[in-house]
Amino acid sequence: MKSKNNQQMREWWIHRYVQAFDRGDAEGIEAVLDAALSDPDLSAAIDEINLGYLEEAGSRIACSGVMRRS
Amino acid sequence: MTQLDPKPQPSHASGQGDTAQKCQCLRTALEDHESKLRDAAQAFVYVLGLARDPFQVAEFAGEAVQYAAQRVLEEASTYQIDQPPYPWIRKFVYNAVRTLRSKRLIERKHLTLVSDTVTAQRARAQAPDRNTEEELLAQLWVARNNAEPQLEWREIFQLMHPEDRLVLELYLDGYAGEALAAALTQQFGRTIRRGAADTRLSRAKSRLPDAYRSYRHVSG
Repeated sequence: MKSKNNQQMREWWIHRYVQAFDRGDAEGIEAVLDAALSDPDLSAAIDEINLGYLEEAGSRIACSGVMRRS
Repeated sequence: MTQLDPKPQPSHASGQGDTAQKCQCLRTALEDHESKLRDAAQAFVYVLGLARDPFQVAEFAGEAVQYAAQRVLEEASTYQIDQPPYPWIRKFVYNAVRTLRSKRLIERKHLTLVSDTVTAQRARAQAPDRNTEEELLAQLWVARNNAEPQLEWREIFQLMHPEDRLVLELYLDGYAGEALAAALTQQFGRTIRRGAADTRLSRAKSRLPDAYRSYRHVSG
């Protein structure tokens, strides 16, 4: 039962994330990113949604070497 | 927490373990997840309206990841070593994108007040009746786990666009995540990624209240 509740909650966060993305709702996105700090499955779902959006927007550009190694 | 302060939530701010060890762990995570962090940054740049042109999106994303990497190492002492590092770092990337957006708005001599206020007002204006939507989603969840109330839901789905209907029927049949993506891939004859499947499902769920109202109206 507990895992079902977790799954239901995760689905709710995923739904909120997509809604926040569709609306450009910065606080909504932040809330879901916070929820994902301790939920690896939600975190992975967020990455997939990010990729889905980039594909939808046709904006995925490889930009290698942008991060400085410290 | 303001958008100019990229510190994560206080719950993760209790210092544990040695800072040097944390720095090393975070450096490794930054290298291991660089590609995913860039993708996340690009999505944030695009969605928050910082840029739309793909090359500008990539440029801002690169800048955000670079800034976030610096901040992550500065704030390493607040990282809880027992937490996965990637989601923690991604939060810094998100806040870096928000900081860039604020700076850009100021550069354009827009009032800083404009951005979040307008975004929030727009979100509120566009938000459907959240109680109704959340109640419906809770009922849908119950129906998904019980056979009896499913028939009514399938009648409601009939009032929706065929693609919404398909994704919601699959959801009611127990498909979610990767399984939903695989089922949609089979239906459409082309690859549907898990993220795209989640997005389709979420958008279909958002349109449920309208279909539900129509159904109630028709069925009296």
